[in-house]
Amino acid sequence: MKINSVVEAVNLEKKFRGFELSIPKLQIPKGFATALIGENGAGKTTLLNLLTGIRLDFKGEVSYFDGKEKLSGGGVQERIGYTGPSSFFLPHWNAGQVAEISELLFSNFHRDRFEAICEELSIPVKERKNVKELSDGNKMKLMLATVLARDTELLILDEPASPLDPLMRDKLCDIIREYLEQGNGGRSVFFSTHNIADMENVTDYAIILEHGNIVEEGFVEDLKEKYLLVKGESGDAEAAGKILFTMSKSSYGFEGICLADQLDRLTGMDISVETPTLSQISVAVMKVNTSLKLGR
Amino acid sequence: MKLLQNSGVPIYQQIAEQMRTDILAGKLKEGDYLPSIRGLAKDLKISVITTMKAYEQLEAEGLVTAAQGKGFYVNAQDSEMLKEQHMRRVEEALTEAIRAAKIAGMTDLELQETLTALQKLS
Amino acid sequence: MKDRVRSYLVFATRGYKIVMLIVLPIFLLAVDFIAAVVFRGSAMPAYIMLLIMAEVMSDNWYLGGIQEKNSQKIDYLKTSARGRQIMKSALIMDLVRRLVFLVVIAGVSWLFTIIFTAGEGVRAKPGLWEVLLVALLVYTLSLLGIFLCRFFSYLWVNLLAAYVGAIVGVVIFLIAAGGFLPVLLMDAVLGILGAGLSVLAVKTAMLKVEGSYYDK
Repeated sequence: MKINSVVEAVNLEKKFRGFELSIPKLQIPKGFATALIGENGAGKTTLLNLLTGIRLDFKGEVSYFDGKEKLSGGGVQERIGYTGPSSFFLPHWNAGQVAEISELLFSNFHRDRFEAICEELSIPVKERKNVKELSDGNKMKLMLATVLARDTELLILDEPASPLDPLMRDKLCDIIREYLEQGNGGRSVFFSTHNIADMENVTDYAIILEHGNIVEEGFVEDLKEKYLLVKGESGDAEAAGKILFTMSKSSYGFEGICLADQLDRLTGMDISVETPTLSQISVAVMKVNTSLKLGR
Repeated sequence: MKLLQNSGVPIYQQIAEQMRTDILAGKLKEGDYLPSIRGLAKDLKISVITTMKAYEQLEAEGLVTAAQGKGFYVNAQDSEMLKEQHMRRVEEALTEAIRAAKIAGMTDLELQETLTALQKLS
Repeated sequence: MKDRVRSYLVFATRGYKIVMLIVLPIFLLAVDFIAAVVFRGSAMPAYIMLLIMAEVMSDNWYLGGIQEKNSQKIDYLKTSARGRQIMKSALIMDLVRRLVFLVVIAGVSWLFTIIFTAGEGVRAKPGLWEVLLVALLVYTLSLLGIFLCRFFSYLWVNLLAAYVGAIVGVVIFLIAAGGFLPVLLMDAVLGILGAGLSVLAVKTAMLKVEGSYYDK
């Protein structure tokens, strides 16, 4: 299966205030939903800002849509829908003005579709509320409505799930799947998230970012074969601890993530093996790479 | 299609299994297209890559073929292979039955009698 | 042009549009009308003050602290290749709107004095150059105030700029009205100053927008 890239970056580098984002190679697969996972301060928002053209001061080459387009061409931003981590509208705007500015900014913005989406997501448009009077959840919904009201080929969403309630998170997953389906392989989604479990059923490809570096990435189904969830008795905990990727112990036994190709080193122990979830894998990878003093 | 989230059987295998059953049972006929990958993902509320993996497994088994840009269509199932597929499933089920019989402490004869009795019933 | 006007209006709230584009001009003209008919004089000194204050105070209302440091308020504009152009159009149209309004208000006010204060007992009868002077005074001084406020978005800076601007405006007007300095010369100086400040105001605002793409 040949997979094209919707975004491709080489030698991406961005330094500021004791932080360094350094990504030798970034490929976001076209036609899929890709999750950007990482701790706070890992550089997720910075990376998304570089890719959407909100920040321009970085080193490296970024190309879009099968490597054919560059951001400087101007047409790329028209094809990308971006939502920020918090509201990126002027606080005194109301939904009507948001529609108006969207129409000015993008030729592929459809006001009727915007209104229909606002209605569908029950964004309080009719009360003529200002953006700053909206709840965080409604701010996010409003941002989503503006990007979904456009004909785009790539959505870049910064923490879309965080301010949403569980019901709306489920709806967000539906929205992403529907977006991908309508594109029939031509549309892609790239989102950052802390809510891995909520977004797991819509994540095709995962990129885990720590300290500005990609520490793990791959298609979720492949990652689920690369890592295994191992559970065992407390008697084996010490020996297993040397082999497992990460492990947590209790008086009843241990549980940990193990690289699949290391499994045979655990033979002889009384263990059970399961397929881990993406969030279990992510937490394990993040634990190994974190600067947090977790006290293992 | 029913999917079990916590059955221990990976979702992609469950999808592949049900598609396989439909193909072998003739519900999906030669030349029929499987639902689009992204459409099925949407309907089943699962990720695209999971459905894709299921379809790729079916393709590896020779049950379907990927057509560039059009999706996956069902292959002509040659009767020999079809029978073989069916037989493999019978074997699998019987092996499982034998294992259960051992745990239950049944003799070989008892097991065979049970089989005969069940055959008469169905 | 239509898109430029839209770009300008999109940043304005409904309240801003009602107050600044409708209520304030009507109010000022009404005051002037009353001054002309009842008091047989011009209310220009009074509304120089009012206008300068209103223009300075309303800028924050219009652009909502858009130039604050590390503001994410314009991120949406930055996600489009047209964002910078729209921003620039809005800034320019804001200046054009200001100048046009001031000239019209001062002009109509002058007409009132001409029509209603003809004859004897007129206290102050401004000429055409004085009308221009009023417009330019308000324009230039409000721009100076706005300039200050866009860099320091504190309320007290805003208030200070508004008051000081208003007082300076009235003083300059009285200097001109009293015949201490030739009006024509003051028109020329204010015209050049106003033009320079206009260019500077758009340039610095755009530099700030541009700078937000980069770390400083």
